Amino acid sequence: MKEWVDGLVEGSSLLQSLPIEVSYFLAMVFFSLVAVGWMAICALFFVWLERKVSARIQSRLGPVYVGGRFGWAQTPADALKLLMKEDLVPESADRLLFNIAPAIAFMATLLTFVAIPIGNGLVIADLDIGIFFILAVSSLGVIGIIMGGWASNSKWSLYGGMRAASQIVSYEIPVALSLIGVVMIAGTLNLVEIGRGQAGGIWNWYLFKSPFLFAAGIVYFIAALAEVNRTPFDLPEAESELVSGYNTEYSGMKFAFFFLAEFANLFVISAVAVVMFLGAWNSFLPWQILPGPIWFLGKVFFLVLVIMWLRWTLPRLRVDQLMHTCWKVLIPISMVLLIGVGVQMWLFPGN
Amino acid sequence: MSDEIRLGVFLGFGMITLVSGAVVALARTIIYSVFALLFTFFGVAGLYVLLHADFLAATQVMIYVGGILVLLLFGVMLTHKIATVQLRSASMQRGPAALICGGLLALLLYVIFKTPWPVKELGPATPTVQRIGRYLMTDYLLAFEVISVLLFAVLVGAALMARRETNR
Amino acid sequence: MSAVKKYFSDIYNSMATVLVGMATTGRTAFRKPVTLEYPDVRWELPERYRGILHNRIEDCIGCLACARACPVNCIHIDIVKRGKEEYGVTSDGTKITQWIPRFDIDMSLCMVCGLCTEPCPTECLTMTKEYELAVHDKHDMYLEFALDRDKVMAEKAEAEKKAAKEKAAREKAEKEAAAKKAAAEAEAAGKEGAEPEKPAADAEADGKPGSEEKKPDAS
Ligand code: SF4
Ligand code: SF4
Repeated sequence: MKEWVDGLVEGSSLLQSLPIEVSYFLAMVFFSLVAVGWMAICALFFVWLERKVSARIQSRLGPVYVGGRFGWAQTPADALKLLMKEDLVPESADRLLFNIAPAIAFMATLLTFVAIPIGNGLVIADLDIGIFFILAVSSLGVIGIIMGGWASNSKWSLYGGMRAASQIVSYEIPVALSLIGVVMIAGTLNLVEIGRGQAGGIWNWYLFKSPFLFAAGIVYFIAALAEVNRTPFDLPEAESELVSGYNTEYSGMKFAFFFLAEFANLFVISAVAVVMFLGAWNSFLPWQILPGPIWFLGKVFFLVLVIMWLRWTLPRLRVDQLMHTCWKVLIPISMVLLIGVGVQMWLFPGN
Repeated sequence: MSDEIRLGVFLGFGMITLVSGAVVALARTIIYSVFALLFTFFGVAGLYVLLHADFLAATQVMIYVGGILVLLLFGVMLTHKIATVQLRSASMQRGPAALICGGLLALLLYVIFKTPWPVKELGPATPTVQRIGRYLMTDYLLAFEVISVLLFAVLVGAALMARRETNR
Repeated sequence: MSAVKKYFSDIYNSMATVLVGMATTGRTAFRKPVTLEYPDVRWELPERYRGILHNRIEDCIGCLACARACPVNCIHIDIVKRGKEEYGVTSDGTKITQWIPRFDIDMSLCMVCGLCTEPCPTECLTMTKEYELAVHDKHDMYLEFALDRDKVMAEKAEAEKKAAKEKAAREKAEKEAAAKKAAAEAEAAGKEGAEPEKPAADAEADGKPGSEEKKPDAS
């Protein structure tokens, strides 16, 4: 980002006339706004897509009216509705925590957005510890969820928050373990470097580099679904049991924040999967046909589609099944895969 | 970044750390203490970033916020009084406590001001991950392994205890 | 051994069944939608669809067969027998011998079973294809088919008033004519002026209220 800020500062005479600190500050504000806007667009688009996909899978039509064709303006209209709704706080809720919880959940997702490279070097913050940063920051979201669940002072919310806590803490482990395999082969945590390492054809994608990584990719996908509370792991907001889980008591703008974060998380986990396993912005041919961002967004879009497809296919797991899946299946498997990757690297050092 | 900004950011993170630390100690509602701890961890992580220790900062956030804090919250919420929002921590025996804390403060201040700290000019930011990894696998292997064994023992012990609970 | 085997077969089964499920939902995703863009596009309703009731009151002979057939008693009919007087004939030629001041169907009670339409001898009580039964005011659920009684009453009252007025006018005219007759005895021109007025007034005064109602009944 430093180069970008420098370029921006040098390119604009207005920014140059200001003191260097102020212009840097303004540039950073600008980039955060870019991240927020990008996140909002993603979330709105995914909400619309989710509706359309669910409708098609159930042989329905989905939104068709708002905005003319395909009901594309349905979600902006809904967002507007949420903005204008009354902002209710339950009387016995803990006001302070109730109010900051959505902000924390939103922040956690927003922070991950700055580290995701859309194209070769096209990233807001090119961090050395890229993937580690994303893992660390995304674990923050659960704090917002627990906080909101507890502060609502409602039983549904509290159960939702508790479930979220146990689920996310457990599933962080397989997520991290399955990503470490890629990090070992790539030899870096930097997402841009990892993406560059997969250039030159589909056989260079880490998913197809080794059978262990292929399995690790599947493990990551499953565990990541659980980490962002998607069906079949949506116990924290199980409608049929907990009304709406941790966000039961929320309305208006604050609910919109939770909702936005949830759908933006879809983008985050898909983007991480694409960067780590599916060749990031590289085409599947040895040469790059279309610009990188198009490939990247296309793959992310595909993964999001698969996630939605899964959601409308599978029923929800029980709590004990959830824990069984994580501790007795995913974690041992990802451990074994990790060792497998190590052994492979040791046997074929050059590859 | 110029030095003034650096100083300002440092003071900002320091303030966050200290103020939220004070809230952790002084809040009467336990849950506030736990959530204030979140900001303490963040302040510390920010200070790490300021020292170009990005890996350490991310580790701080990941382990303390993502793991330990969540478990703390879990513990607090699993107490039986969860239905009432007022979950208070009592303060008792203030006299002796003040004495001990005062003594500790004096000792710490003494150590802080007497120790000849090795001060180094902060160089340009360099990747730290590889060096940390290499050191963990070479020079500090013993410590690393000891910690691993300890954690493993804790894990097994915890599982055992949970087991016994269900069998009873 | 079997536990280990079960562990791996469970994993295999879960993955395989997820794929089977996704194949199923994937197939349904490309099916023709079963829903319609409702207010714009509507179903082709079947021939004998049972919607809201309608009565062509002009053909109703007030036989009460429908009210008797209704299991929930939501048809309310009042009839007034008028001896042998006829109020006209229905479209299939049945004579209408009673005045029906009230023919109400409470659609909020009706269960749209269609039992009432079957015994109707003149086939005037039918079920339409109208299925949007929701209304803003529940009183709109109460369908009144009888020819507007208020209007009929008002017309009747007006007709009576008019008749009375005409009668008064005629009497006055008669009196005047008589007075004229008495006074002047024989002027042909004056007689001619009063003569055309007289038959019209007579016709109106002779008309009974029943004949007033018969007109719309038969129309
Ligand atoms: S449709 Fe059935 S319920 Fe309705 S009025 Fe006729 S007989 Fe009664
Ligand atoms: S059965 Fe038919 S004709 Fe007889 S009262 Fe009912 S609607 Fe009129």
